[in-house]
Amino acid sequence: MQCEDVRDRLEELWDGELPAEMRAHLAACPACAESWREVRLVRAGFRLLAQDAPPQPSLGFAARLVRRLVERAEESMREESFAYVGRRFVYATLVLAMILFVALLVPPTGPIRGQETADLLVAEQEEVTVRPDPVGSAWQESAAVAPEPTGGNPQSQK
Amino acid sequence: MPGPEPEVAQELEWIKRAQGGDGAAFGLLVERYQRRIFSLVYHLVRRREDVEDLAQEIFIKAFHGVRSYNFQASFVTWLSRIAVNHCYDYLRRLRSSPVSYYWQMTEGSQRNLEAQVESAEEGGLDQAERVAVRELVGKLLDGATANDRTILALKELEGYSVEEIGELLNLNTSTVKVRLHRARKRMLEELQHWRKGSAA
Repeated sequence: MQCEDVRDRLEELWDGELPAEMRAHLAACPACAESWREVRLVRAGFRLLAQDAPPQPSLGFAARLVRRLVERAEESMREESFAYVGRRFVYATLVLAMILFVALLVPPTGPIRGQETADLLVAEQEEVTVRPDPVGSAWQESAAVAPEPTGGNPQSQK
Repeated sequence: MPGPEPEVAQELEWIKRAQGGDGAAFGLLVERYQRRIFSLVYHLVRRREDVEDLAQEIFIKAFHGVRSYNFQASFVTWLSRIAVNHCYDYLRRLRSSPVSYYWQMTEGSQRNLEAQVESAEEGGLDQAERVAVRELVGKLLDGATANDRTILALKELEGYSVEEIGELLNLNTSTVKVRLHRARKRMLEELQHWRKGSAA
């Protein structure tokens, strides 16, 4: 067996025993024997570590944990309800602000919507008041100043 | 057809109640599995003073996630998976500590220690030598990456089979074998590297 093959297989044999051919190689090869010693050293260290007794839960560990879970659940419920009320408040404020905004835009009465429409209507009203009435007093006044259509020919009067 | 074992049926009931938000029922599950989780956490992180805090965080995580438990794996496997992931995250945040104790020994003492180990594994060691070997491997483990450390601790310290590790880490068996092989190899290389360093 070559050293390279032996060293590749040493780790594979971590959990098992060495086959006879490898034992023969290790007896003749100090370098490979050294590698095998290292495997065994680490393996022994792991066994010793595994024997370490883990720490035990302190008295009342589970009860404390449950209490903490319940407290957290109550806390998160409180936070949720605050958040819910807060959201409601924000929505209500937004709706009120919108109502106020719309109320400022809309004139107090009538179906008119918007400043432009209002201006147009006012202009139309002004035009109506200035335009002479075709059958009103102005027409009658001009008719009074004009010569009588039935008054005869002025040249004929000469 | 006979129903499940009384203990299993009881556990199922506790789980269902915990899924409905019953903290007291979850407390009963904690009582049942706390020692198992403490052992797992201790072997994974090897810091006695941090074990209880980590275990508490793991159980809190489990309580918040218990609704997602679908009864496909056993509850303890599901819980152990949470513990392994939590410890893995913790280990990733840890800075690796330098290997010291074994390397402070003279080369002669190291050889002597190795010869003792070779002669009768750890049974042939006296108390001080056992401490040194334990310390050595502990330090090598502390210096390993979170991945290597997790898989080595599960196999060598917690005694899980390759199949069980696959279930815990969501890996297939051949991947676990390859990772385990590489982790052991890296650990041995690290040992050789440090030995060369200490001999120089």
